[in-house]
Parts: sequence; structure tokens; C-alpha cells
Amino acid sequence: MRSKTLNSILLIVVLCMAAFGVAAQDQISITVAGWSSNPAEDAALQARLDAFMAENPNVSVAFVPSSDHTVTMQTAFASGEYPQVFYVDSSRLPDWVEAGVVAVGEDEIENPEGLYPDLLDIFTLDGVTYCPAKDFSTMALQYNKDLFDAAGLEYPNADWTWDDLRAAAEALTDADAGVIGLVTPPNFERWLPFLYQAGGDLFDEDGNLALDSDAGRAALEFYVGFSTDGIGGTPSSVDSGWGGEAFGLGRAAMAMEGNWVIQFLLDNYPDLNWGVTELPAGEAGEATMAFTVCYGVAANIEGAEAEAAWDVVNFLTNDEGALSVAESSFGPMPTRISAAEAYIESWESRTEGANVDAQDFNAFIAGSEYSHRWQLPVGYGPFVDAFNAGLEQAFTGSITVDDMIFEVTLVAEEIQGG
Amino acid sequence: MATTAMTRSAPAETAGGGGGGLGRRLLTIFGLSFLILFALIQTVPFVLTISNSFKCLPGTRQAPEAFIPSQLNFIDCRTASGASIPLEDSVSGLTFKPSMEGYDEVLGTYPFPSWFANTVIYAVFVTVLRLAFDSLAGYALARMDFPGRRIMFFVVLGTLMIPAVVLIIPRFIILREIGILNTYQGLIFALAADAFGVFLMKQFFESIPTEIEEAAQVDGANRFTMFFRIVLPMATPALTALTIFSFQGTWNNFMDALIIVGGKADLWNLPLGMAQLRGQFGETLEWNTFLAGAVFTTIPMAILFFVFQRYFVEGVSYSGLKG
Repeated sequence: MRSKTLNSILLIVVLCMAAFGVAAQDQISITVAGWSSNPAEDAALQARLDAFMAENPNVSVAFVPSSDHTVTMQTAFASGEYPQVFYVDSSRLPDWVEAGVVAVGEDEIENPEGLYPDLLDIFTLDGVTYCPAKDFSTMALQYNKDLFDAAGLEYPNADWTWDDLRAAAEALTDADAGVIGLVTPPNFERWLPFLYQAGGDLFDEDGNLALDSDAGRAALEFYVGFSTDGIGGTPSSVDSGWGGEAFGLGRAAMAMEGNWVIQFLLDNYPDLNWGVTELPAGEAGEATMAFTVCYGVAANIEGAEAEAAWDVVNFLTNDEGALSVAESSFGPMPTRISAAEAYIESWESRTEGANVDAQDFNAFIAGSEYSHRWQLPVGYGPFVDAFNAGLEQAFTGSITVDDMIFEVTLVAEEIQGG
Repeated sequence: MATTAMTRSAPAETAGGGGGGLGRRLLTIFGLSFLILFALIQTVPFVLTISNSFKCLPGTRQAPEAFIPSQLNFIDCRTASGASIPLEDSVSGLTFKPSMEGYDEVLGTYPFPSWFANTVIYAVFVTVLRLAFDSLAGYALARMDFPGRRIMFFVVLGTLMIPAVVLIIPRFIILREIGILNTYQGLIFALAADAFGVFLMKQFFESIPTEIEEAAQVDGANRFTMFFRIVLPMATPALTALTIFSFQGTWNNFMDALIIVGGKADLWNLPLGMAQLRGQFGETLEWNTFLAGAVFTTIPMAILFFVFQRYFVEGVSYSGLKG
């Protein structure tokens, strides 16, 4: 009798131990899907993931970059099997939340107060916060010091107004040398800061497109004016692929690009003598755009797996994670205020001997104070296409700003009605 | 190709034997200069690809036209602190100092060797399977009389009329249901037979006189013996053409690879990898790295072409019977 009881107790103990042993060795593997911006950044991310795995031996994390993240993810969503962690571009968030693939991050994000409020806001929809930003870029004004010196002009500064920008572009344009004053890409998101600077907004309180307003018209007239008056133009008007290239080649005296332009210019145009300042202010003050992605967690996982996924995300985006972004960044800024100084310092050491002052990059950080989100409601893809096509036509003068506003408003109404 | 055209026109020229006069000579000069111009148009991009793959980044952006290496030893593109060296230190006029930065980057930073191996695997398997399936199907459609043969042929031919883009989603769904998305066999299976190859082989087999097979039948050969021992060896030109088309098509296949194995990075082939080198937004592309990858991607195709070029030319003059 006794031995039987003892045996069964022993058996239970052994079974429990076995179960625990299995649980302890249970490996969770997490895939982080995103894209590769440059090898240096990939290496830094990998180092960070290695550090995580050293601290959490039961979790293995792999970063899988894709050449076309959006398409790859849509495919994975369709197949029902998708990575536990994936980059979510701010402009994609509404679509992907609607598709039900992004988990809610309200109670999971570590120390949300430490993030720039704007960034937390961008990944909040209808009061629900989904994910912490990975890093971010804001638009600022780059200027070619040599061209400014040659024209005998003062360098741009943070107090500049629209009029200053226009006057400088006019003075810097040299048609014979093939130099334009300001490169103005025909892209909706590049124009948006001017709308906000003019005091306008994209939508009114009822969610209707509000471009047909004085501010909307003024901002469009101003932006289109650079092309129609011949003191600015698209990148392709000066045989370049994008604004950064036009600026690097010295064919545009000023450009409005984000942080991604820094490493690009340093790598490809080491001789360029350039500076950065904040975008000019409009009637209603300062405004710029924030371009950012977050680490989304898959909505189809739960339990230990979900916990591990959030651990990885927080490890990458907490104070320490932000510092590692600051130290290894090829451009985009850390998302926590605590790491802003480290960001500038790391550039200080990496721009030694270069013809740019790393202190200028504070202009990008300053932009976080008055940045707007790059995000549209679900289904607004056709509207952006129509707007960009309209901009191209307005630049050549084949349609007026009023025509353009009328046309894109029609497209927006169709989207809202449908 | 240009060389064969030139050597062929040469005898024609001498055969004229002085009876031509000025007009004829002008025509020759005009023809030659046209050929030279065309050859230049074909080769200049290739030369620039190779030269720019050996440049430092500032050179690729600011002096892409420099194509003459000024020395044989490689320079370092970066200073000790990792900054790019100025343009004048690596390029002057049309000459440039070569560097290995692009190649180091491709082979060191990216899993290029594994992309290469995958591409070889896909291309070899797909080509072998296509040769087998397409020639068997083509022979059946050309020689065997079975009910529904014409309809079947038109169905096969009909798939050629459908734009490939239309098939992407159904193909994706089918492979997902079978459960072979993101596997080697998924991509190989999906490309293992193609209507173009079946059509090509059928047309070729029909051009072979039936007398040969009838003679073999008299000697007691069955269908399979006839096919493998007699017809297939005679079909070398068509099989060669099919080999080249399939190998090259699979080697350069981006779309199917993206849809079928795009989700798993260790199954990527070279075109997918090259897109990865391009970067997410394509703007901050590192040209020397990208072009170094392009050179690696091109070399095997170039070798394949030069090896098989002979067969192309020979294949024009095949014949089974005299008269």
C-alpha cells in the first residue's frame, strides 16, 4: 500500500519535473520583418538582437529584411502566417489595423511617457495606441554654402519666412549653370508642411477634405510658384532621381529632405559644403512632417509568444534601445527625448573632417516639436496619386491651382462616398 | 553576334571582285559603321556597369562616365574614421582608381553566395524538368492521335495568350493550399512546364519527316524507343534553344520568386537579392555595391551564351533527310 502511494507520489513528482524541464527548454522563436536601409544599420540591429538573446536564452530572434516590405507583408497576411514583429509605416497603420493584424500595445509599451508625444500620437488611432516607434525623420531645409557664398547671401536660419525662402531661391537660380534655387519634388507629403504652416488642415471636423480653403490655396500657390516662376523645380527638371541627388550634385541650392539625406550626402558627395536649418515658418507658424515606422506585434499570437514579442519590441525601443539607435543611426533619430544628445554627439564624431556641422542636425530634432503625421484614412491611395499627378501638371502650368484643388477634392469625395 | 554577321558578309564582299565600284564601297562603309554604332550601343552600358562597380561612391554619382582604370592596385574608399574620400582622390577626367568596396560589400555584408546558390538550384531544376515535360508533351501533340488532341493543344496555346500578371494570385492561392509556399519545390514545381516550351517542341517535332519514325517502326521500335533514340537526338537545336530560354528565364525570374519564396530570405534568388541591394526606397542606393552584384548576376548568363552560341549557329542548318 504504502509503497504504491509513495510510487505514485514519486511518479507525479517526476512527471512535474519533466513538464517543467520541457517548459524551461521550450524555445520561442521570434521573427522581426522589416527592410534594410543600409548595412551599418542592419549590423547595429543584429547586435541589439544578439544582446537580447544573451539576456533571454529561451528566445531566438531573427531579423528578416525584405526588398518590398509592404508587398511581402500583404502576402504574409493573406497566407495567414506572418511574422510576430514587423515594421509598420505610419502611413500603413490605418490599413493594417483595419485588417486586424496589429496587436494593441496600450499596456505593453515600456515607459510611453519617454517617447516624443507626437510619435506616440502617430501610432494611436481612435484613442488606441498600437506600437512604439522604431526611429523617425523630420523634414528640414538643406542649403549649399558654396552657392550661398557665391551669391553673397546670408545662410538660412530658423527664423526664415516663406518670403525669405522665395527671395533666396530667386537669387540663387542660375539658368545658364543649370542651378535651381529650391528642389520641389511633386509629392503630396513634401507639400503638406506648407499647408500646416499656412494654418490649413487636411480634413475638417466632419472628416471632409479641406484643401479648398484660403490656406490650402496659398500653400499650393507658393509651392507651385517655384516651378512656374523658374526658381525651383522637380528633381527630374535638373536630371536627378530625387531631391537629395539634385542637391548633392549642386544643381539645387536648397532642398527639403529628412534625416535620410545625411549619410547619403556624406557617402556620395564628401566635397559638398552644406548646412541644415529648420523649415521656414508660414503665417500660422512652424510645421514639418514626421516620417516614422513602429515595431508592430502580430495580432494572431498569444501567451508566452506574445510576451516574448513585446519583450523584443521594448528591448529595441526603451531608453537603451533609443541610445543604440542614436549611436548607430545612418540618419533617422531615436524616438526618446533622452537620446537626442547622444544622437548629435555620435554625428559629431562621424562628421569629423566633413564639410557639415553636426550641430546643424539639431534642426531635425527641433522639428519634432511641431511635426505632423504622415497618415491618411484607409483607401486614400488614389487621392495621393491624383494629387501628385495634379502637382506635376500645375508645375508645368497646364492647370491652375484652382483646377487642381477641384479635381483632388472630387477624388476624395469619391473615396469617402464609396 | 555582331562578329558572325561580319564574317558572313565578308565573303560576299570579296565575291563582288572589283565590279562594285564606289557605290558598293560606300554601302559597305555605311553598313560597317552602322554595325559598329550598334555594337557600341550594346556594349557601352556593360562597360559602364563593370567600371562603376569598381569605383568609390562619389565617383559613381559624380563621374559615372569615367571608365578607364588608372592603376592596377585597389584603393581604399574610406578614411580611417569611415568618411568617404573626396572625389578628386579617386577620379580624374575619364580615368578612375579602382577599389573593391562594392565587391567587399556584396560578398561581405549580404548573403550573396546563398542567393547565387539558390538561383543555380532553381535554374537547373526548372530547366531539366522543362526539357523533360515540354518535349514529351510536344511529341505527344505532334505525333500521337488521341481524342481531344486538338482541343488540348489549343488549351495549352491559350495559356500563352493570358498575361502572366493575371496568374499571380491564383498561383499563389493554389500553392498556399498545397502548402508549399516558401519552399524550393514550390517555385520549381510552379515553373516546371510551360506552354511556350510545349509549343516550341511540338513545332519542331512536326518538322521532322515521319519517314524516319516509320522506318524505325518497321525495325520493331516502340513509341518510347523512337522518341528517346531517334527523335530526341535529332531535336538538339530545339532542346538547346529551350535550355537557354528556360535557364535564362528562371535565372532572371523576379516576379514568381517574389510571390512564391519572397517571404523567406534564405530562399531568395539573385533578382530578389538585387532588389534588396536597391534598398527600400531606392534613393540612397549604393551604386558600386549594386553594380558589383549586377556583374556577378550577369557573368554566368554571359558564359552560358558564349558556350551555346555555336549551337545557335549550327542549329540553323540541321536536317534529317537529304532532298
